[in-house]
Parts: sequence; C-alpha cells; structure tokens
Amino acid sequence: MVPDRKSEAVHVVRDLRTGRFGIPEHPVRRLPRSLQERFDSHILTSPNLPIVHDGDVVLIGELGKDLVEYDRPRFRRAEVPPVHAARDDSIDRTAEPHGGTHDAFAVLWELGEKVDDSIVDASRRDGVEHIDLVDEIADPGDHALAEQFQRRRPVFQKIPDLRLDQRLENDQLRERICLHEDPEVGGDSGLKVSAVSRRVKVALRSVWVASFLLLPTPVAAQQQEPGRLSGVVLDAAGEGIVDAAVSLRITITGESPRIVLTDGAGEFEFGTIPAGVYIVRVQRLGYAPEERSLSLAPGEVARLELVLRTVALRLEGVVAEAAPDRERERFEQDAGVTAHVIEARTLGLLPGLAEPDVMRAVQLLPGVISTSDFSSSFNVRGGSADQNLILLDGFTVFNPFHLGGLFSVFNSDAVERAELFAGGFGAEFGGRVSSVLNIESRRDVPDGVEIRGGVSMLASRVLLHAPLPVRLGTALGGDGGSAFLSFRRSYFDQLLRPIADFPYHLADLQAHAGIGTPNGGRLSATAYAGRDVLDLSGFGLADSGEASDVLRLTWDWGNRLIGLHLEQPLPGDWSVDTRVGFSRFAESLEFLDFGDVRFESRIEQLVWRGDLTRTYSPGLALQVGASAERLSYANFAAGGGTTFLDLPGSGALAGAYAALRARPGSRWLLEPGVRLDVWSAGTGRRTVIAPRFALKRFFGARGDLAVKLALGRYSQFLHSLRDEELPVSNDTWVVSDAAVPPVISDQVQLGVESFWDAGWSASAEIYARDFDGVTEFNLAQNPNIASDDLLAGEGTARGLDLELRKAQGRFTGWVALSLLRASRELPDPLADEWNDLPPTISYAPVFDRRVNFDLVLQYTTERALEVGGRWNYGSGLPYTRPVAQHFAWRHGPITGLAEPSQQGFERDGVPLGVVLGPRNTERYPAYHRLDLTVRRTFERSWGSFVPYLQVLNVYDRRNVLFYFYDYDRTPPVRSGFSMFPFLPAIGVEVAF
Amino acid sequence: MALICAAGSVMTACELAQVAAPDGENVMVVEAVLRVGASRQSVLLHRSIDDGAIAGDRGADVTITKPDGEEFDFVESHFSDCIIGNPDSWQIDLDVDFACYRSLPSHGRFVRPGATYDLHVETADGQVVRGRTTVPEAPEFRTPAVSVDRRDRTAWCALPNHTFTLTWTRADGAWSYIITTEISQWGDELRAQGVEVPDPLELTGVSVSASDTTLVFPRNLGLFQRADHDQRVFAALEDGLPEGSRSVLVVLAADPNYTNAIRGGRFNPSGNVRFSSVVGDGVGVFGSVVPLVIRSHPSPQGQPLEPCPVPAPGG
Repeated sequence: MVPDRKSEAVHVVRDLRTGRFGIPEHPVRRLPRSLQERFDSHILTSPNLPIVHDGDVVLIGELGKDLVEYDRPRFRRAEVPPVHAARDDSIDRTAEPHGGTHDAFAVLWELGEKVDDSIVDASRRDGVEHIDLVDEIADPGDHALAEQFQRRRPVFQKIPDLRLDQRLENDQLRERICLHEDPEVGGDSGLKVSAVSRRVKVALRSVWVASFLLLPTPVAAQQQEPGRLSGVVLDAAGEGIVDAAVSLRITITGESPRIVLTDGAGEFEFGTIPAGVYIVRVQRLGYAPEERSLSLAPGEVARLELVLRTVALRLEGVVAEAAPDRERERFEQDAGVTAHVIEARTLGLLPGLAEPDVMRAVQLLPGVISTSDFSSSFNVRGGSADQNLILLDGFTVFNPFHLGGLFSVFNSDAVERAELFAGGFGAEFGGRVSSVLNIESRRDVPDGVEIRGGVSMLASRVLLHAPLPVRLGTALGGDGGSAFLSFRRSYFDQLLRPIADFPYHLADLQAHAGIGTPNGGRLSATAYAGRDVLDLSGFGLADSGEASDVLRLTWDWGNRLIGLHLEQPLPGDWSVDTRVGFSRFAESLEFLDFGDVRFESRIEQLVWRGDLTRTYSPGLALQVGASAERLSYANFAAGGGTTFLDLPGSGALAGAYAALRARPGSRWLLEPGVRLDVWSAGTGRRTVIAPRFALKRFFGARGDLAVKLALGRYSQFLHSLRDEELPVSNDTWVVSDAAVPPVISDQVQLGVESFWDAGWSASAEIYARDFDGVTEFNLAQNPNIASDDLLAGEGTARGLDLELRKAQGRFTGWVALSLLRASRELPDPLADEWNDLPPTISYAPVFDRRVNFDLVLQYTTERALEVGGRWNYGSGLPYTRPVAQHFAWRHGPITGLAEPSQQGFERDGVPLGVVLGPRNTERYPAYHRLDLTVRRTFERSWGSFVPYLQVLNVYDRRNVLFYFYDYDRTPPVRSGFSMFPFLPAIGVEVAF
Repeated sequence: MALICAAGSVMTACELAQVAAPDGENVMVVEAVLRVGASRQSVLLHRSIDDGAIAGDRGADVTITKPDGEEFDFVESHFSDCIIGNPDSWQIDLDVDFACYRSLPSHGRFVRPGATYDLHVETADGQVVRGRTTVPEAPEFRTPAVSVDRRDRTAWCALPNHTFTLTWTRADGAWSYIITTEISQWGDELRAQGVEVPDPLELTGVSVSASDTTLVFPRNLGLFQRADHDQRVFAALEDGLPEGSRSVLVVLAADPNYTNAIRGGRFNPSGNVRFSSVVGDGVGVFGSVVPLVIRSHPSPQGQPLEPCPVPAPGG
C-alpha cells in the first residue's frame, strides 16, 4: 500500500493524481554533460563540498534541512545547498580522504548486485549522523554477499536539480527510492533513506539509497601536546576493509566526532588528537559496528586493530518497497478491470519485426491472440479486431498499423507503457466492447536534451526529448515538464532497390508535451501523423511522357491525431480529467493513367471527454463523467464510370456515467456504476443503458490475494468492413445507422489474483461474453439498397486466462495460458429464397484459437547484457477447406454460351473455381514459434548505444498462413505459404 | 524479407512443401443462365475435377418451370451446343466431358423479362439441385437512340470513333449491368510500336445497381482487364474506337444470381469462389440476363451500316 502523503512516517512528494511518490528519477550511471557542468559550476562556488565525478553515487542534497523542505507535493528542484560557513571552520580537512569537507549528503548507491533485501541505517548515534547502506542478509554468515558491499566504493556523483517527483530508474533498477524523515530521530538531522515498497521484498539488483552524513565538528582544542591515533580495520579473514567509517569521539565533551574512512588496506589515522578518553567506533556496510574505548595521553601515538564481523542490520522504521507497478496498483485500487501492462523497458526484449513493436508485444498477453505473423492486429477474448479500442494517450487511433498490419505506428522510443484492458470494464469505459489498449507516451522529464535513435532493418527513428523551460511551468503555477518529438521512416524501398523495385515507405511523426499545473495537475498535448505510401507512379514509360506498360498507381494511407489532456486536482477533494481531441484515418488509391478509378476511405472523430472524481474518504469515491463525440466517415470506390461504393455517414455519441468506488472495510472493494450512451445517426437514435458492477474481496494478512467478479453491458457504434480472414488489409470503417446495428455485448468474468514478494503475481479468470450485432460484409448484398450491406448476427466467447508473472529481479517474464471457444452466427443470404435452408450459419471465427500459450522470459546480466525470449504455442486456427475444384465457366456476354472464365485462377490453361466446405470447420496445424533477442548496453561518456540481435522463428517452424489445394493433380496435393521463416535482424539504438 | 514474404510468391522460404491431399469431393456444378432473346436456352452440367478428369452429368433430368406450372424440359445435346470452343483441342492435362442440355426448339424464346423460373436438376444417380431466378425487366438503349429487335435483342449500327456516353433505361430487378465490347481488326499502329495488341480485344465494364445506367464508351470499359494488357492498349481507346475496327457492344441486365456469381464469394487462396445460387446436391449458378446488343460491323448481308445516333463530340 502506498503511504499517505500526510503520514508522519513518510515525507516524500506524492503525486495526488497518480498516487506515486515523489521519487528521484535519474539514470544513475550517466549524467548528461550539461547537468554535470551546471552542477560543477555550482559546486565550484561552494568549495567546501566534496566532489567526485565518477562512480555510482548520486548526490541528493543536504541532509536534514533540504530534505525536509523537499517534503512538498509540488517540489520541483532541489539545488545543491550551499555549505554553511559556520561548518566550514569546523572541518578537519586532514581527516577527509577525498580532500574536501563533509557535509550532509544523501547518496544513491548502486550496488549492482542482487540482494534479497536491503536496509538503510539512518540513525543518530553518538552525535554523528550515520546513514549507511546495510544489507539484510538472510544468512548473516553470507560473506560473499558482504563482500559485494565491500567491493563497492561509494563515490560521489551529483544531481544538481534533483526532482523528487521523478522516479529513480536506471537500466538495472526497477525499484523506487524515496527519502523520508525519521520521526523517531526527529529534528532536521534525522534522516531515513529507503526504497519504497511495503509488501514486496525487493530483489535488489541495483540502486539503493544510502546517505552519508558527516557532520564533523572539531574536537575542542586542547592545550596539551597532541597525540595521534592510527589503526587498521580487518575482516574475519584478516583482510583490510576499505572505506570503513572510523569515528573518534571524546567521551566527556559530547562534541561531534571526527571521522575518517579507511584506505585500501583498511588503514586509518587521526592526527593532532588532544589527550583524553575517546571512543573509537568503526562501522562498515555489511558488518557489525565495533567500538573501542581509548585513553590517549598527551603526545601519545596509539594504534588499534579492529576486526569486524559480518552482520546484517535491520533498523526500525526503514521501509523497502518495490516500485508499485501499474498492475499492482490496479489490483489494489480497481475491483473489476483486467489490466495487463507492458512497460517501455520490457519492449526492447519482446519480439517485433526488425525493431521493438508495442502492438506485437501486446499479442503476448493473456487473452490476446494474433492470427498471422504478418499482422500486428490482435483479438482479445473472442472479440473481433475492430472491437479493440486503441488509444494513444487516450485518443483513438483508428488504424494503428503500417502496411496492412505488418508494423504498428508507434515508435517504441516514445512509449512509456502500454496498458491493455481485457475485460471487466468499469462505467468509465465506452466505445468498444472487447478491449481497450492505451499507449502512453513518455512523460518523464529528462535532465537535459536527450536524443534517442535507432537503426533497424526496417527503419530509422529518432526522438528528441527535452525539459520545458522552468519559467513556463512556473507561469502555469505548476512544475516543469518536458516535450518530445519522434520521427521514423522506413527505407526498404532503398534497400531492396538492387534486387526489386518496391517503392513503399512509411513515416511516423509523434509528439508529446506535458507540463505541471497548480496542485499537482498536468496539462499535456499529443500529436501523431503517419503515412504509408506505395508509389508506383514511376514505373514503365512514364519518364517518356507516354502511357506506361504497367499499371501505375499511388496508394497512400495514414492516421492523424491531435489531443489535449488536463488532469487537475480541484479544491475540496475533487479532481477533473478532461481531454479533447481529433483523430482521422484516411486512405486513397489512385491509378495515374486512369482518372476514373479512385478509392478513398476516411473516418474522423472529434471527441471531448470529462471525468470528475470526488474523494469523500480513502474508502469512498464517486466518479462521474460525460463524453461527446462526432464520428463521420466516407468510403468511396469508383472505376470504369461506376461507383461501387459510396458510403458517407456520420453519427454523434453522447455518453455519461456514474460509478462509485467503495471500500467497506479493508477486505472489500465495490464498484457499482451505470453508463448511458445515446447514439444518433441520421434520423435514428439508439440509447443503451449499460449497468456495470464489480466486486473484489481481498484475502490474506496483507491482502495480496483477491477474488473478483465483474459484469456489465457494453456497446459499440462503429464497425470495420475489413475481412479478418485476409492476413493483411486496412480497416474500412462504417458507423451504426438504421441499417447497421450497434454491437451490444453482455459480459461476465470471475477471477482470482495474487501478488507475492519479489514481484511475483498470478491470475486466473474465466469469462463469458455474448455479442449482439456482430457484422460481416454481405457478399450477396443487393446493390439497389443500402440496408443489406452488412450481415448482422450474434457471437459468443467463453474462455479462461491464466497468467504467472515475475516483474522484478534479473529474471522477469510471464507465462500466459488462454483457453477460448468463440462462435459466430450470421444469416445465410440464400435462406431468404429457400425456406428449407437454415436461416443462419454458425461457425468458429478465424480468431478462435482454442489454446494459446506464451512464455516470455527476460534476463539481465551484470554486464548490461539483456536476453529475451518468447515462445508461443497456439492451437490451429480455423479455416475453410476447399472440398473440390471445378472448371470455371462464365456466361459469354456476346455469344450467350458458356465460355472458359477469363478472371481469376488458372493453372496450365485451366480456369479453376473452388467449392468450399462448411465454413471454418478445418483447422491449420498448431502454431509455435521461438523468438530471441539479445541486447547489450554500452555506456560511454557521450551517452550509450545498444546493439541488438533479434531472431524470429529461431527453429524455422513453418507455421501455416495458407493452404492451397490442387485437386486437378493426381493425386491431389496441398501446398501453401508459411508465416515468418527464420528471420534474423540486427539494429542499434543510441542515446545521447 | 518479411515484406517480400508477405507479397506471397517470390520467397521460397515462405513456401510450404507440397504434400498429398485427401481426394476432393465429387460435386455437381451447374451453369445455367437464362437469356432473353435466345432461341434455345442451355444448361451445362459437369462434375468437379476428380482423379484427373472432369465428368459431365449425363442422363440427368433438367426442367425449368414457370410459376404457373408450365414446364420446359431440356434435352441432352452435344457439349458444343452449350460452350464456346472445343475441349478436345484444349492443351490441358485433364480428361474433360461436359453434359449439355438445351431447351427444345418448340419452346421458342420462352424466357420473358420479369418472369420467375425454377430450375430442377436430377441426375441419373438421384442427386437433385434446385434454383430460382427472376428475370430483370428489359432495358432499352437511350444513347445510341436505337431500338433492338424484340426477338434477339440486337440492333445493327456503326458505333462512332469518338467517345460517347452510353445510356440505357433502367431494368427493374437487375442487380447489375455487365457491359462488354469486343473490338477486332485494329491495332496495327500499336503493333508497329512493339505493343502486344489482343485481337479481338474484349473489354468489360459494370454498373452495380439497376439505376446506374450510364458509362462512357469505350473509355470506361476494361476496368478488369487493365492489369492484363499493356497500358498503351487502353490509352489508344481513350478517345474512341479505332478507325476501321469492328465491334460488338452488349449490355446485360443481370439478375441477383448472375450478379453474385460474377462478383465472387469469400476469399479463399485456392481459387475463385463463386456465390452459389443453387441448393441441393451441387453448386453453381442459375441466373438470368436481358441483353442489349449493338453489332457495329457489316451485317451478314454485307450492307453498310448506318451510324449509331449519338451526339457528336462536344455536342
């Protein structure tokens, strides 16, 4: 559970909108040069601060003072505090191994090693602020682990403008870190440093926060001849311990001690020590502190040998938690929705086609299947592809694919995460009946201008990311913000030129800007423009100005999107979330030599949506919302003087909902709600009242196990005419009207979820879905009327989704098993003529994959080498087998007699037609495929680069795309095409 | 690589090995399109390809019935009476046989516009196929303003060598019009340029509703042949029929069954799928068409033809 902002125990910035803690986010291993310089200049004006430029430690700020000041919800920048002059005089420079003065600093310490748990000791002891990183070692005798700590040398690096509302993150760290005041210690010097997570034992691989507090107050000057103390700190094996903190405190004055660190041999030395009785204390991460009492005579030179034993310490009040990942948040806060999250850092290791692809990554989630390697399109829990709502930052993208589905339009560098809602939608969800996939743009604030790029065999891409000017945020009354612009273009038109003319290219331009507003709000803007162009205009004899010898055409399609989004806390426990946007998908096909041939398809959406939340108490919140959108489309196809398709239309959808989120006790979560959608198209109006209800019951001492139930009615007022049996094609959208019914779906699901320590989680859900109003293009439609263009029928889906996931540690990944039985029942056009025929045809849709299994594993080594693997098994998809082939005739228009058909398939001079068997009663062989990805990150002073190798279909499984049946052979034969063959690809990503 | 693979045919890496398939089913296929104005109607019966052969369904009972109960029994005839070409001369690796059934001469031109007919086929082994068609109403030419012979639906006139807007009257009950022209004795200039010129060249256009009764002749024709020939062939016809060429123009008003048959069914990679309009123990088409024909070359008597009355260019 996320600590409340008002908690006495935790003083960190918390984003009220997201519930996140204020957490520094910084690539620990790398500081942008610009920030380094800024920090340096600042430090140079504060010569008393110790500076070390390299290493793994990040300076956070002055202990005690500033950290408390940082405890503000809207804290933005923590400039490195100036050193107080009064302290400057008190510093024993000779005792400081780095040659500078110590002041209060918190540091981030990257261990780079896996540790079961970690604790930070941040207590005031003997007047000295010691904040050490220690390890909670399950086995105190784990010397190997202790040595890991010893080997790590804390050195200082700087964060000049620390942002506590950012996440701390680097490639090897998935945990969040925060700082907080220790109420037990109190005062401005009591500091605790912790990793955040209450329940999840952190499998530490990387960064931990430690804090060094060295407040050297000089021992009072003595009149006697000074003495000297030296010594060595050894471990049990007699080896010197480096960087052990040795403090020397005179017992009777209570003055601040002097502290030195041991050198590489474990040696230390205090010079100029007045006579007196001292306590020498030595401590080191991973060892039990050791104290000696020492009486030093005037002028005496003493030497000590201190032996430390390995031990783990757990200090009260220190909390270690993992980053509250989005799925965990959903688990705790949402009663019904089934959400799966893919974070950006995971994307690089998931199989794409030549480069990371978020849509292909989504295909690996439970309940999601893909029918073809050639398509990034997907089906969720027995729904058709057009029943998935795909959003970019909450704005609809109607056709988020390039080349008919081969690639998605999203640049992986620009994606922060993808969140798929697969079922159990609350009342706030509308628009589609099967799933909602929201692609979130990056919203982190870089320290300076960041440039990321990638070169793959598909395309090159670049992303420019920079913080927005601070004054802009200040002017808006909020924090700063950032903006990015990304661009991608393919070049296989160039690559293939030596062997084939394939004048196709794709291009994407994506931008996002977000900035803080008062009280922790955020205003953001998202824009996208993409284009696919197949330009065959340069073929043939075009250059000579004559007609060409081949058919020339240009085919152009793409999305446009722009949207504004405001998330704003309001006075009185209200908060508002509103967005307005415009989205468009358009496609056009032109034949250059024949102006009479034209194909165009377009759909546009103008949408406004507002959500208002009132939080009455931590256990009760009311959410209401409204939306208004206008959809218009125009599909047009003409050629040879004939208009084959002319379907313009529009409609308006007004939606409103109310939902209650109640926690009657700590064990129950209830979400009753209702949604009202009113769809108007032409003179028709359709009102759908959709009740939603979700219930969750938590079990276990920590509430890590829950059983949930969700049910509701969902509606959808637009359809795609795309034939899903084609592996590659674009969507052609139409909206509901008098002739096209909406899809109304009633759904229920029952599931159990559990989260364990170390990032493990598991879930199981069964579901049932009924769809009324599923459509298919009517191949026997009457051209004289528009009302029968689509066949409308019913569908069902029953299934079970199982998932076991590990989200933290070096090994991460998941196992997903999905069982599905889907069916469709559509009218038989022939039945109108023949009463003895059944009026409907029932069949399994092409996405009825009965068993789908995904194993996704990712492993990160110490040397920044990442290995990802994915194996997918899917039972065979249904298809319609031709049962016979026949000679294809046509009615001769001139002769009136039968003539061999001149169109379509022909083999050896024989025009062939096929007779199909019952629809989709055959199944292709089972599908399975192994993909591997290897990435290695190389850090350089200017940035980093990541070469990667990706191999799709490692063992070259010939998964069937199509079968061809040739009954004209004796004996008949079956051939076909497979999906992806063994397909290696290389690429490189660069970040500056 | 994947793109090429997606294109589907050039990369052997994506090809599946050829394996033996189970025998196909032996399915009766019916080709029956009633044509107004035809002196005899024909029905072609054949079987799907089986064991390297196409068999004709001989010995079947083929009957067409009007709603008033009047029956027209068809009699078996030589296949050349039903089809164009001689299968015996085809260079194909199949043994072929087609069973042709024709209406009796005594039935005359019995197919009437607007009438409904039922087809009943019963093969010698008892398989039954049924179909039903309602013939569209008869359209008439408006441009050119010529009247067709009521018996054979044909007019004789010389089509102009410029483009004109071909129009005809609406045929209720039609789902489409198939417009075809066959041009012959043309293309010498193109051949001199090295262009391969089909002769005769058949070009087809369609109109996809009863009310869509116009297109530009001959520019709008050939939509479905444009990928088959050199584009210069079509460019040569942009401004009208070539001088000296001979041509036939046919407009067929097609019923739903025939329209469905030519526009195809669901996609299947193994071959063309025809939307069957018969039910029972077979597949096929039982449709009907009403033709409008202009023959634009000298009549059999060899007399010069009058020009078809069409507006002059720009007129």
